[in-house]
Amino acid sequence: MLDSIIDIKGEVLEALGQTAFMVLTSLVFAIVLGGLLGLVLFVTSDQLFVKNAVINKIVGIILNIIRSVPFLILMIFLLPLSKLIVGTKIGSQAVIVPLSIASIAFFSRLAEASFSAVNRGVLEAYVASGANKFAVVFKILIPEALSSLVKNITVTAISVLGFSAMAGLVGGGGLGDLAYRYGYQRYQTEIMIVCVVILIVLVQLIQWLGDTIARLVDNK
Amino acid sequence: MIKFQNVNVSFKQNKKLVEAVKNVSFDIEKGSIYGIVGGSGAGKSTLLRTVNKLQETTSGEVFVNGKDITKIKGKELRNLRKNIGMIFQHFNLAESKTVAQNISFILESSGWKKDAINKRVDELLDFVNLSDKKNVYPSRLSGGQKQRVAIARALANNTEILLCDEPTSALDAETTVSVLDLLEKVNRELGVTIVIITHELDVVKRICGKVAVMDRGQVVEIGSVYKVFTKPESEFTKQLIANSNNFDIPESVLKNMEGDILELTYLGQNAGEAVLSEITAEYNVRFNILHGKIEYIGDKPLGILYVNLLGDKATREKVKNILTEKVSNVEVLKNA
Repeated sequence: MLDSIIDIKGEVLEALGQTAFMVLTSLVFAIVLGGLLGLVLFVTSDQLFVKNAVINKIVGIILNIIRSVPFLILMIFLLPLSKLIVGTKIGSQAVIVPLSIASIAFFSRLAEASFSAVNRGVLEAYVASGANKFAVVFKILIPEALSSLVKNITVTAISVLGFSAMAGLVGGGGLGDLAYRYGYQRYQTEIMIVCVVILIVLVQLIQWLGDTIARLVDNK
Repeated sequence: MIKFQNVNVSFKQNKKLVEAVKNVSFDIEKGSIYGIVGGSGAGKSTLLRTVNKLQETTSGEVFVNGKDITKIKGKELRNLRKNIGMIFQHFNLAESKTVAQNISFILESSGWKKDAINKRVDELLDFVNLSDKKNVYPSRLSGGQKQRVAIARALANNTEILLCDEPTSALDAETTVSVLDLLEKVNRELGVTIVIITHELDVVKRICGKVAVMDRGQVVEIGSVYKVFTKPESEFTKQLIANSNNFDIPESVLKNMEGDILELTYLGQNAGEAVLSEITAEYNVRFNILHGKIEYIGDKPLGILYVNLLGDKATREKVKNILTEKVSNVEVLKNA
């Protein structure tokens, strides 16, 4: 059993690299664009900022549609878009596009919740002082929501890791794919177990890192 | 300084139209400490928030320094708001920022230079007596300290008006006094016009010069605090004052008591007792004092005495008439 693992050490490392690439790239998009959409949802819902029911509804409905489609289907459905953006329909790079879109939709709702949880009275106090609304958003709202945002980024990272396991279907590779090919298709259960153990360790690590950062940025 | 003119505010709440403020008109003079009192849901908070346009009006005008704030927006509104500070029941400090950062954000957004900001923050913290807490996060402060920081923050831009939304309602009695003293100092030393809304009559008695009493969206009485508390005119104000007097003798004791029970209000410190001894010397009646207190409105004393009047019916009636002339107000709580 040990032999067969050592035999495919290279493949395991490669899969780990692919998983890391897919998850990290998508996570960056999720944080930036998902965070931005979460912000749009929040500021368009409140009189204090730029309440706009139309924009709020449109963004909300689009995000809900994306979140309603199971990732496997979304991935296949969006492959033509991958071709358009990254020039290929296969491999980790192709998976980045649907994975990012799913992560953006996922994180935007969590970010919106983080912003909504900020004490409205604090925002009101600064708006009432005559401060510019942009300054209140970037210097008060975001710092006040930061700890909660970090916790939600952690949740997103772990979900994206789960989504990325389906990348194998379009040749995206990654740990999920490795576990599926060796464990399910070749009956090499030990490889599957190794992959699962690596995934468990990764999730623990992400959670630990997220909790630590969340604690560090929290001054309460 | 602030002028409400036929202000109406209504909004939809749970599909029902709520008229929170109904046709309110009055002026708040520059340099005064103005109280707005009333029960919960009276509309006082809504009214206060029209002054810096946190609340839009449905109709009417709110003039601040001669400018109708209901008609302006954008940069003009922000500039006017820089002149109006506000403090809240729950302080509303940013938890992610230190005491100094909470204040300096306001100065930064008003375009102050860095050196000037540092100097101003030190000056403000010195004024509210919290210089040693400069780099502390709000979670480490007590309620009273948080409200002091909030006051410093509200004054940062050298504001001329300070709006206080239930500023002491989350504080204990002792801290309340220290925060009120600070507000008085803000008014006295900086000439800031202060508007306080509260449901605590003691707050108004302690520092306000004038008061408006609100009930169900309307101003039912307005005048100097001393006049409103000693000679209330509206039924609502009378009820409000009676409720705050804590005349808490059990119902059963009152029921079994012989004779009349009177509430005497008198101005001045010893006037009440003196009148009673005069009367007992002349007429064949007795007084039992059930409850009494002297309170100070600003620095003027107001006495309230609850007495049980015993004697034969005719004399009692005569004594009651004499009392009406000698003290400021006689209220018959029980007529035997």
